Amino acid sequence: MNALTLPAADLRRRPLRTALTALGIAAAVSSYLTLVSLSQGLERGWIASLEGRGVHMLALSRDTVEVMASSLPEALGPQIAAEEGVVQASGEMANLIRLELPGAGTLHVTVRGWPPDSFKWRSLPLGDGRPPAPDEPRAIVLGVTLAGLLRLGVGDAYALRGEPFVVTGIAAPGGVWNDRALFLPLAAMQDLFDRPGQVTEFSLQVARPQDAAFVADLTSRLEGRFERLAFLESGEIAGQNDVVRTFRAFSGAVSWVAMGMALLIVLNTLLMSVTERTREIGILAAVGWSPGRVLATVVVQGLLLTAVGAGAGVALGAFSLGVVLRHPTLGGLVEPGLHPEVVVETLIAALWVGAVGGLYPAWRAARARPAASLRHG
Amino acid sequence: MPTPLVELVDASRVYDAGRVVALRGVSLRVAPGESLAVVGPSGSGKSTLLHLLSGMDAPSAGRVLFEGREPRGAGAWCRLRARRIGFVFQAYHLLPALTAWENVQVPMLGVLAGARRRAERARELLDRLGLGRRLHHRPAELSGGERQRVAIARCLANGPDLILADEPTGNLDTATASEILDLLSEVRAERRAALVLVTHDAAAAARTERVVRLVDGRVAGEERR
Repeated sequence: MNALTLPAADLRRRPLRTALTALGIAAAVSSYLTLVSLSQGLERGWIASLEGRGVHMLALSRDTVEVMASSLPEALGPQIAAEEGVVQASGEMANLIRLELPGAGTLHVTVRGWPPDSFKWRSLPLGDGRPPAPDEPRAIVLGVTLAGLLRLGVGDAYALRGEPFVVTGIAAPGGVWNDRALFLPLAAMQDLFDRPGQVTEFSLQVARPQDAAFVADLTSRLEGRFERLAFLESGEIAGQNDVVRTFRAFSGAVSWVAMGMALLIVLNTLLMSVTERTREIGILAAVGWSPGRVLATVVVQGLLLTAVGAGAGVALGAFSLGVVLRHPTLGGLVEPGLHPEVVVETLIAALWVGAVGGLYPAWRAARARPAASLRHG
Repeated sequence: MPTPLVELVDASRVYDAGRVVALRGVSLRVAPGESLAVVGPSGSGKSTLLHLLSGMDAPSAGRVLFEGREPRGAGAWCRLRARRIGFVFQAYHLLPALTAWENVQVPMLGVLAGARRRAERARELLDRLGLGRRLHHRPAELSGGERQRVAIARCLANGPDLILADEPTGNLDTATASEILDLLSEVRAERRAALVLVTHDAAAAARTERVVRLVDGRVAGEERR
């Protein structure tokens, strides 16, 4: 017999009670995991959509909260490209639109318009077909997931906002947002959204992207030259993006609320469990167990329960997340999958909650007079 | 007179803000190795007296001394209960989730180092009390007499100097009760421990060296044999 025998035996003695308690903890852990994974997946998906391949720097309208809503003159592109140290500057337009799916339902997708000579076309990984040719103003490339949802392949016709287009390629850039995106020539996009001569951002390639001093100097020069623009290194894009900041704040708030709920559930469960065992705790005190040993036993029991519940909660959370992400709209916004660090973080949080949640009932049990505890029940 | 093993000095115990008075100014000395029966009608304060003697409850007024000193706080009483005081209850108070063998080992945790030594000592005690074949049975699988034997083995686990028994035969038939009292007498004699036995049973009281009668929380009489 050792220090674990009694807490483990107590849990085994009431299998239904233990199962229901663990289920309560599992529900809390699963909710926490699902909510945190959803909010972080949303953030990751958004970040992946911002970080274009081969982009060293992004020029955005200064002080604009949402890039897609900003308007910049396309004519700034050649001026930026002419600056020393800049290799290429590609004016681009991005927007978020709602598409009707064949059968039923709608889908929110990102639409990206790039000039025919933009390096972005060359860095777009194509699974099938090719980018639009310069003489094909009404050609589109679909993200692989979007092509599947729309049931379209290379050579198929598709009406976008009432205008006829032909699919010339299927791309697999990776990430939920990008794989559901739609790519088309900039001119066609300006025409579709009635924004002739306008872009929402410029993607830059610079001469020495790995040289931090060079990039810092270039950024400073460009911001001095183009006062209405903010120049961000690609690694800074997510951190400087207000939408990402909002997602992060949301994610943090959700984590705390979920953690609070889990704490209350564990506290309530352990308090009930300890109250039921008042007489047994009195017996332990009567045979000479110190308050510290009684407290440790109750806390260990809480930790055992929490470990079982948390394990089940992780499995339940993974299942719940999968079910939630089957919804077409949500599935298109959130990067799927349980990330190991979130699972580890959740398990640590659950055990912390188990220890903290068990402390109060344990303290209550340990400080009771044995004679009073033995009279209980 | 030698220093008493345990002593109540003008001890009172009230509950519910004084509405219930369980003990009123009781003084009682228990000498080392002495056997003493506390008798009296229900509600006379017998169990409360045992709880005060073991530190499981604290007096509302007066003092409880162990070997002439007043133990300071719950921790000191815990250490005494773990090493010097054994308790046998009418309702056995075994832990239902544990086997007989494990129940006897419970008081040894933190007192006797080494799981193997604890297990061996518990086996010896249960063998001594005739339960060598019931080691792995849980309390629910044992008869009343067997449960009380397990409780006695648990009480003896750390070799107490003072055994407090609260109606240990109250739930048993006459024959089993007699066996349990014989056992208690034997183990007490073997260990030269003091015994304070709370009982309604005149025959049980007759086995002890001294009988104290409680009525309405007061000592109403005392008889030495």
